[in-house]
Amino acid sequence: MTEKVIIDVDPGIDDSIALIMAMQSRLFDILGITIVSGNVDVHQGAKNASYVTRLFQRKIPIVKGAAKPLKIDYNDATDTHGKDGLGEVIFSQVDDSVNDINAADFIIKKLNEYPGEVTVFALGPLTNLANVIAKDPDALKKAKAIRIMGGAAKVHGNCSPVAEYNFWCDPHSAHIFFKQQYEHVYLYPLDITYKILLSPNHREFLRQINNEISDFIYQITRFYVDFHWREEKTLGCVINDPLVVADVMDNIVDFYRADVDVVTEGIAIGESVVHHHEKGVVRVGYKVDYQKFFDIFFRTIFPEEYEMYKRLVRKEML
Amino acid sequence: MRKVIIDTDPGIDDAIALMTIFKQKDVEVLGLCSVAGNKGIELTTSNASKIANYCQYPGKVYRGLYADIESVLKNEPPRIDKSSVVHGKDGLGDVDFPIDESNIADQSAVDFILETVKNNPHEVDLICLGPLSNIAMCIEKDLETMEKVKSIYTMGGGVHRGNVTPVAEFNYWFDPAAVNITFNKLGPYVPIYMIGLDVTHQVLFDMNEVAFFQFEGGEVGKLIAHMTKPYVETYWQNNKVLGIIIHDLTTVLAYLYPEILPPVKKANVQCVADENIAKGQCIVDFSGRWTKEKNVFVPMEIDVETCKKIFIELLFGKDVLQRYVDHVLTK
Repeated sequence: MTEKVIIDVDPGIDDSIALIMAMQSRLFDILGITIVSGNVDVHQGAKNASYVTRLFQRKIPIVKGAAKPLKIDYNDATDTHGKDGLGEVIFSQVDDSVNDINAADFIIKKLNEYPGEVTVFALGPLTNLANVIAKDPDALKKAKAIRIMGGAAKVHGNCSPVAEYNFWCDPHSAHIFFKQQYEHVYLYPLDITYKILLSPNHREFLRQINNEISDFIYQITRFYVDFHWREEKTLGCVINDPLVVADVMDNIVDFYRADVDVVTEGIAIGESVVHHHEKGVVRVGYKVDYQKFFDIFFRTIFPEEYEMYKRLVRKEML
Repeated sequence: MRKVIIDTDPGIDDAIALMTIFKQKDVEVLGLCSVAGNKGIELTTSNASKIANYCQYPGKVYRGLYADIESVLKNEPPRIDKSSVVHGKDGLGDVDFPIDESNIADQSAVDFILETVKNNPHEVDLICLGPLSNIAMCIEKDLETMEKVKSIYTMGGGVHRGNVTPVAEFNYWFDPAAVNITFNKLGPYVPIYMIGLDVTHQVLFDMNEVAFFQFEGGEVGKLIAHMTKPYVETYWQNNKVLGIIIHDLTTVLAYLYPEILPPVKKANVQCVADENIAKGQCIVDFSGRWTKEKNVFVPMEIDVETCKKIFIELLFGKDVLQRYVDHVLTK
């Protein structure tokens, strides 16, 4: 049984790796990739998604959505992801996005077509989902689950001491989304995504695998690695978004229940306020098996190199 | 002040070893002797000269034997170069070093070693990072003087592994006769430490560490990351490890800080000099089956973490070491 998914995304380096994982896994029937302005603007995001799907010769509808946040000025994250969003090595020019529908309508349409069956991965700012809510507040209730990368519960943010980028970029959309109190919402905050560190050792292994996909990941992450060392003295790069995909494949995240709200103004703008209690409606990830993530990562994307991967892990090299 | 002559065949790992020992304050490097090995003598001599220039080393480079000792004694041509891939085309990972060969001396390596030991009896240590051809020639010429060497640290051999053949390590395979002359004739008089592959392979700098050198090691760190690229390929192809092993560096560190070696056993060591499949193998008789006199100290273990810390502090300084501890070691 495959799982129907819509991937709402702003690719982005780690977003692109999430797309690669989802496409390489046999588990997912990807109904569409909806694009939101975030790491890069929606037009570049569509080009990057097109580039990645073409790597796999996959025809998946790519649908553009919101060009800017609901209420505040748009700030991209090209300092982290490069001017082109893919580490300044790809500069994708191809755009396969469809013209006849926008992201919010596409999401509503698919949720109505397959009620109770579709999982929404929200890997960028939540603007497209806020637009869905504006059009039809009940639409997202028909999702099987909504899995969001965003926020920072008990760790520092990456845009301010308290704010993570996706929520900081469009705090109003995030605020509106959590106000709906939907069931089946899973939040993957920085608390756990920080642990998903693609190290120089991993990158060297990718370089040695030496196929089109490994080269792509190796090339686009160079910029990201330099950024992480310069800004955070982290050796390697954090790849947040693929964790969401990997968790659906293999349950590697532990969650607690909480209510979540997002600050929309002042110095705490974009902060996710996580109120941890038993009756909370949102499942917030707090613990992840890092080693299992990379096991899934290599097993899924590079199945023919999986034995070598395990051997390197046994030798404590990865 | 410890006095040392370094016999070397640069070589990427020789280069890193030299950069490191030049930083050690209580060691006086009396001279560099070149020897054929990783590359032919012309290239190893000019490479030694380049590294000396780069490090602003004030001493001289003394040209050594053009080939293994038996070929030299028989006036035969040098061996063909066997290691072009491992060290890049020029032997130094194809890095542009400053060229100024005015630091190459007229005196030969053999004459320089003998004269220096004669003038400083029981004071001069020898660090041998390449084949032992020069040392063996010194012994053949003047054993009495060579008995007054203070100690020898030689990179080579291996008890349980090889790197040119399943059983032979490159330096000793290149000139096995020189190994036997050195170990058998000097062993009774001079403490000889054989830093073999069993030890050097424990000190793997993985790609996280190489990235760290590149980020934090300034010009030298970038140089090392660049220069060792051919090594990364070799160690992946041959050993399936992600990183680099810098044999000669480990040898230099073992000399500088012998406390990183746990108590070391002495054994009788012989190198297979016959032209057969075991050529160059280093046979280490730990259990004394041969009942021959023990001639060489053969360490089998090394304190890897301390070894790396010493290296980083020496080459890059205290601050970089602290960042290494904070951001690499603890993660």
